[in-house]
Amino acid sequence: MPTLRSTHWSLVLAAGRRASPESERALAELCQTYWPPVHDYIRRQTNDLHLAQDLTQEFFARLLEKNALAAADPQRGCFRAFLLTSVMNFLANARDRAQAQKRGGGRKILTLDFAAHDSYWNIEPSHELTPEKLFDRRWALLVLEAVFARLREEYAGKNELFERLKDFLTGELSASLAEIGAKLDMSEGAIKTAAHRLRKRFRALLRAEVAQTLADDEPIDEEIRALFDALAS
Amino acid sequence: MSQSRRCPVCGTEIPADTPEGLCPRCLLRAGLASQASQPTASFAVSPSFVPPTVEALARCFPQLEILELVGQGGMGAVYKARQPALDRLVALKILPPEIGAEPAFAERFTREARALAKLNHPHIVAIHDFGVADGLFYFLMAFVDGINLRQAIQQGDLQPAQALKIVPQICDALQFAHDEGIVHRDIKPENILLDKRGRVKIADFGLAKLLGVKANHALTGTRQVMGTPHYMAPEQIQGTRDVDHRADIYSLGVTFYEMLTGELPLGRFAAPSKKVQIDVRLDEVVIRTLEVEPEHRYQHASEVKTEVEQIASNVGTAAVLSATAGKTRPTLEQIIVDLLPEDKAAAIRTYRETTGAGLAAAFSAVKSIAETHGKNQPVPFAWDSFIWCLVWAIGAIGFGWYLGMRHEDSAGNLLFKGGGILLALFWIAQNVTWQISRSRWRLEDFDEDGVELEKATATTDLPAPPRQ
Repeated sequence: MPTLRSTHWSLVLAAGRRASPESERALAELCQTYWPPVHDYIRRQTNDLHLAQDLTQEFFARLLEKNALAAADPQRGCFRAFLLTSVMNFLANARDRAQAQKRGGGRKILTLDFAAHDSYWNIEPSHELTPEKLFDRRWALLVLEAVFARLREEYAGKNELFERLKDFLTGELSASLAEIGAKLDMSEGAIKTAAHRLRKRFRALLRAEVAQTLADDEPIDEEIRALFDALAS
Repeated sequence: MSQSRRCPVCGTEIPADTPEGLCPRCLLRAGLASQASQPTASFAVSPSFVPPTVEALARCFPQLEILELVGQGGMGAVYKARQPALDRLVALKILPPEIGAEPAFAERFTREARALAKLNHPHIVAIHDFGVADGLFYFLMAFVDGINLRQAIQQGDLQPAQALKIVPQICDALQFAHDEGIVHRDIKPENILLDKRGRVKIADFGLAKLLGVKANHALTGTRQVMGTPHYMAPEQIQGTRDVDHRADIYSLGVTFYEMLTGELPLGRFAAPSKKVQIDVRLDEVVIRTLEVEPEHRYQHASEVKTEVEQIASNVGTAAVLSATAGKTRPTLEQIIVDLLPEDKAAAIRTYRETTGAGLAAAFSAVKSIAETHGKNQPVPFAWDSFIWCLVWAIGAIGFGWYLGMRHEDSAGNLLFKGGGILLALFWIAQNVTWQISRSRWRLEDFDEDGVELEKATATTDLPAPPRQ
């Protein structure tokens, strides 16, 4: 759906070297939503919860610094790809720094043992995934979480309706609409309309959320499909 | 994980950390542009079919420039592509990959596709080529630059007049294909394309049959009815009898009804003219295409076209109807209107005798005539007659009062005064009764005595009523 307002990510991209307050806010908002995949990625690579937290903080602090984006290629693609590349680079640099410090100062600030087997951290059930896949998978779930958060906000006064109708978003039919309607004291026509509306709204919010991470002209469907593929196990 | 759950829709495992406990893949799928018009229940959607990306497809078709995915459904995905050699746009339709698993499919595919490729008609999307590439069965078709009828309906700017231009073109294409022995089997707004100049092009001829037979013994072993249930003829849904070209006429009727009213004809649906301002004669056309029994429908798509065009042009109606029914339609409508206040059963009987329509169709049509006339020409309260009545009544009271005053004795006084008042009341009462009786038949709810009417009409010697 073409909108006059540019997406968050396109604002950031357009700002480029000269970051405006607007583009900075857009980037901050994006990071606010999509930091967990970065954290997971780092944690997966370092096997240390506290270290991962520190590194994640540092990563975002650098990212949000003024002109941090200027060095990057303008053809970065979507925000998801950009963030993954950035965090990969960041970790590689962090390792270099750690080794340089080990060699030079002997002061052991960081104990980054990237080669070690990741036996410490296997809480995550899908640990057979590569860190990159894990990143995308977490991202896909976050998109959906963000959409549901907004959807729940909109349905704040109609909690029961939302609870009963949400199954219809996937096409899963646990009970017929007529039954649900009877429970909620609504006519079949009214409940059908409500289900249709919820689905439509969910779809719009999902597309809007995905669009925020894309440049203006990037196809939303392609990104949704990529997220869909990321969830294939 | 101990409690792994599978999604009943797509069959994949639902991760434990998914929001709201819903299948994240299905949720994402719901966000795709082409899913906008999908009904809630994924009736015909092959659950696991995800169209290949443009890049993946480009590797299978080196001779084409694949541009973008333009649509997807249970019967495959359609991509916009360019043939560089011929410098033309084409539509590439990919069938769901799992159909290739059936050994006999390839042979049937070739046979059917050859027949379909022979359908050369201005209102049918031409098939340029077909085949298999990397295990994907495909059709290469003419690209129609425009929208489909579903999008046109959703945009809400489809006027009845446009519908009357579209339907004859669909009929043309259907008649042509039926003459070639090919039944579409899946006529619905999604398959009817409108190009930039408003010309109709029907897509996916015969595809439902090609894929549908396969679907009955699909990989999953579950019996799956292909096609979109709301547009399917009853005999198609039940699978009890052979499906012939008249199934297309039914689906056309559903599409026509939706074009006119924006709604599907579900249950005891209202006649289209009750919902929108259209010629009531269209009701009969629509309702006759929607008869449950194929024998009661129009037998040829060309008949629908003729009737619609006659109504649209509004000339020669008499000639057409006298040829088919022996009476002119405006007269019939007038007869119905005249009969209605007296005897509704007789009106319905007359309608059936004249048009040969089924009971349900006749009932709906007569009801709609009654409502149109009740709505369009409501009987106004006759104020002039009422005011004259009041003037006379006041005159009578005044004159009676005057005469009473001239009589000294109380009996005469009372007689004239009372007489004047009584006379006035009588006049007013009579006027009001007359006013009510004038409009009574239109005020009566047609539905209320509908059941009784059916009984009354069914006892006549006409064919047994089809159940709606």
